[in-house]
Amino acid sequence: VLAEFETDDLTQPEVNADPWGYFGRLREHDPVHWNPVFKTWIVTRYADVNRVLRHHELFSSKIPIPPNLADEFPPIDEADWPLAEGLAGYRAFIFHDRPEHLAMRQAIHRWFTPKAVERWRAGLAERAQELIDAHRESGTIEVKRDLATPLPLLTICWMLGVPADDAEYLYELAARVYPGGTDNHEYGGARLRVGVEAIVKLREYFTPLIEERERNPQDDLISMIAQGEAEGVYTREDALASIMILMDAGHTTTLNLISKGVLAFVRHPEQWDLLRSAPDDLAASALEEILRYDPPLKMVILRFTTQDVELSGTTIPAGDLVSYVIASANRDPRVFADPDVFDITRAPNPHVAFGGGIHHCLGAALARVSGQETFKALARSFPRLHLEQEPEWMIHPVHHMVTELQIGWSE
Amino acid sequence: MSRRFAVHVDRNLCVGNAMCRAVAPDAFTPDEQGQSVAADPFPEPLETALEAAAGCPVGAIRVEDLDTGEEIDF
Repeated sequence: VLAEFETDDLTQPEVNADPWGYFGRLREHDPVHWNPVFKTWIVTRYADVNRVLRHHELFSSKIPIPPNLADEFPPIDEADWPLAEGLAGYRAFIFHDRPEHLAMRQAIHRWFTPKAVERWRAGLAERAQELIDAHRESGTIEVKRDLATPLPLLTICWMLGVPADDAEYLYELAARVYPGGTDNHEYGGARLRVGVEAIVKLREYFTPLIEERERNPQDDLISMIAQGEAEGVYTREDALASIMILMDAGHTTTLNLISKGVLAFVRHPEQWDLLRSAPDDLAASALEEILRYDPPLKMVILRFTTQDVELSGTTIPAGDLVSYVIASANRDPRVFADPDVFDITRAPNPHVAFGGGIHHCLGAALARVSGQETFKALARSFPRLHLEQEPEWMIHPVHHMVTELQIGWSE
Repeated sequence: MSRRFAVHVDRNLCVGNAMCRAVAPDAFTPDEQGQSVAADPFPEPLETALEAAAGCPVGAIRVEDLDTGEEIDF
């Protein structure tokens, strides 16, 4: 079956720009595909993806330490392996299994429930409108830089309890550790050196804050994490790693959600007209459809089988790396009627953009509020949207992200 | 007299995050889809039910006052 596929290098432009084509073919012809380049099984059907997500006892999230660096693609120079092993010591909660994962998540999850994140809604709506209004006269905006990046960055600073003025500095550093958000994404040894330098600076920034919050707790996330550290739930490295991943994962994905939502509406003007006709009523279901149609993470390369597991007739041996493709599951015709149609009234819409099971995205409710308020503000502001130039796609096996998104609008 | 209540999990919302099972392992059990099912009658106190509802990351758990039929706020 492998011979039918043009490549297993997931960074190739044709895979990168159109994940639905490549992974859709896998889903229909080889739903549990062994990829010899990335040395991972690639799971593409909705039912199988959900099985991976909801059976953490079969599919572990704990990256082996020391990591299996010989299998990295693109390869890492052997001289840089100590750097990679150093980075692997920083393990945010998402790289843990139960029971540690449960304790780490419980220490902070109350901040992320649907009810808890409502406290940010009014502020987000106001800030989204300000960012839009700042570009109203020019009639053009680079969505990613001018709207989709500053908004979630501000939110995560509010939540962590750090000054908004520090947002850009912190994001730059966090993006180097988990380089999903950088345009100049580099693979191989260079990314490790950049990552280690960034971790040193992040540690310098956050260590005194964690220690200060231990003595003097505030109503913020760093205080929650500091308390978790005091109670032995987090090591200092894990506490720092968790802050970094909140900075980057919470932010990169939301900026991607907003950018690609705008792109989907530019390409489906009748859906834009529909949203504009009733933004308050339709923003929530519209956001779910954006998440289904073009999810921020196209795939996740992070599970290890704890025993032999059978999926769709293929037996995956114990200890193998398993990747699941969100983009393909979200368009599985076994679950979604007319899966390639962008329909903001679609219901039900059980997409897996936020994953599922015990690792279901911690920030899902916050992403929903941010996205809903952004699209409401946009819909109230601009009857017409158009692309100023065809977007290019960042080369990345996990994120499906535009390098920039220049759009124009008119009243 | 304590309030009579029932706990409901919305299957359209439940993502199998299992936070409820951590709060009340005897009261919530996974089905074959990995989604949580609440025991009926609910074997834990109302406070535990409300804690599970408040901690659900997708707001899928509803606690109903069986005398009024209304949702009990957490």
